[in-house]
Amino acid sequence: MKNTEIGYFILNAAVSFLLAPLMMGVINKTKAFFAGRKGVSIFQLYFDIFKLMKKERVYSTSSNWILRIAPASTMGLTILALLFLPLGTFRSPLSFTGDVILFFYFLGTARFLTVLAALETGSSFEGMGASREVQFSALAEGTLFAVLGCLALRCGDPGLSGILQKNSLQLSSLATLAPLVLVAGAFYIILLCENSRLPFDDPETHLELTMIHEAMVLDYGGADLAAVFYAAALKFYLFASFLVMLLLPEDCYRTITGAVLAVAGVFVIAVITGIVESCMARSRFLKLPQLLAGATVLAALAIILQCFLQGGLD
Amino acid sequence: MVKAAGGVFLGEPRTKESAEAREVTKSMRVSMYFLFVLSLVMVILAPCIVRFTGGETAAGLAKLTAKLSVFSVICTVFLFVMLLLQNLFCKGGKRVSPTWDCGYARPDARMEYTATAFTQPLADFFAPVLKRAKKIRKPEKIFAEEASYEEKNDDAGLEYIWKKLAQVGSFLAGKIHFLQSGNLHGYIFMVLLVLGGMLVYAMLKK
Repeated sequence: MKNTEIGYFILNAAVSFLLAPLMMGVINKTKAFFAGRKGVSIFQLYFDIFKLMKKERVYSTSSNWILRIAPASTMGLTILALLFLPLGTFRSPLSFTGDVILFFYFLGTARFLTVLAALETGSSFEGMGASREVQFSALAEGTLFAVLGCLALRCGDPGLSGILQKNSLQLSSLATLAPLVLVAGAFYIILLCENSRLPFDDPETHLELTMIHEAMVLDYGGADLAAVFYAAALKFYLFASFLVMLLLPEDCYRTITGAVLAVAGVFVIAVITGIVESCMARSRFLKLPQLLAGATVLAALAIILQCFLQGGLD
Repeated sequence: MVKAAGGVFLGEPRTKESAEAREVTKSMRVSMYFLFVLSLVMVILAPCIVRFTGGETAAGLAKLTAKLSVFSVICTVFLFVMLLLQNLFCKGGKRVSPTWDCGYARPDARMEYTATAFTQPLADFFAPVLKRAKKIRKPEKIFAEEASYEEKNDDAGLEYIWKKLAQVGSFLAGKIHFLQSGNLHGYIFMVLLVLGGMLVYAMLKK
């Protein structure tokens, strides 16, 4: 592997690591703008994390070691997932065939630990949040793998770097655009679900009965809560990067500009999410599976279209 | 998995017996530690094992396994480092306190989410394809003392597909049961009939 590639790999990891909390600030600023407010600083999450690092950690008397290791492990697993993400034309040095499964299962393991830790506290609210988290993630998993199946079929490469680098928008061939657009739509719904954003969950709410992710982390404090906040921001960054790299036009892909656009595009996703959250309220829990079912239909339709376009499953 | 682990091991003990449960002795845990160490050794030595068992033909697989082994070790070390960093960077210290539960000073096992409640949303979603049986005892009076909810989800595939197929098979078997008379002469006669039939078929085919 060339030194340039390793250099870009380290740069990508460092940039993602540093910019992830900024995304949350961009979303909140967009929402404040649409609500006619000034809003908090876009760097607010950095301030919160630094403040929390100095605060005391509190552990429940009902808990044992799971609650103590969950935040750091969640953050560690999310960072490990980040190491597989390519940047523009530069593949991750860790990439291998089928690493896309490992990428999403790192994130899945992180969620598994968060859910276990929530149940370990014995709190009814955290149990409720954990139950909802598992319900929606179980339904989203099928959609996610339908999306990945379509993308792998489209490019003939089951690796994460291959899926993201070979599935660029080919503006010269508009006929092939339809499956990619459908898949991108389905993936955006998964992004909102997996990151507990509206209409699935309202991250701003402080009413335990309506929360999902926030309800699971009620018993964390200090550095543990900082790790939970950071991991959530990084997870959003990973999903947004995935989506952006799918939608980068083919022409700009093979240049350094493509790498810059990949990072800039993540913030465009943050602004879009802010606009979406400003325009709609959280849906009823009973209606949310319908939204995920809709996303699955989009992904299935994309697979059928792709098969039709390439004349079979080969 | 979460339901099983959460319902059995996590939170406050739900029964007197589970409250009194203790860890087994070290001699009983040794076998688990041994398996854990063996798993680690197998991960680290996976390329050698693949090459040893598969010979030269498995060289490509051994190369991939080597990459995965190194990555698995890096992941494990990384997670340990994360845990160490968490303790190093936390300047505020630690404190143990009862679970926060919206005003309840000390939540007990009766307030916890049960395994049934945990899976109910998913079970509701798949209700059309599940064979469910619910038993609800609603709270009565103003100061309700007892209420309960029981749910049983049987294997729908077993109930609606395999059992039905087994019934059809059983019905057909009943119809030809008379052939199994238990009489050896009868069986020899049947074999003779089949052989005769095959002979006639072969002659006609020629």
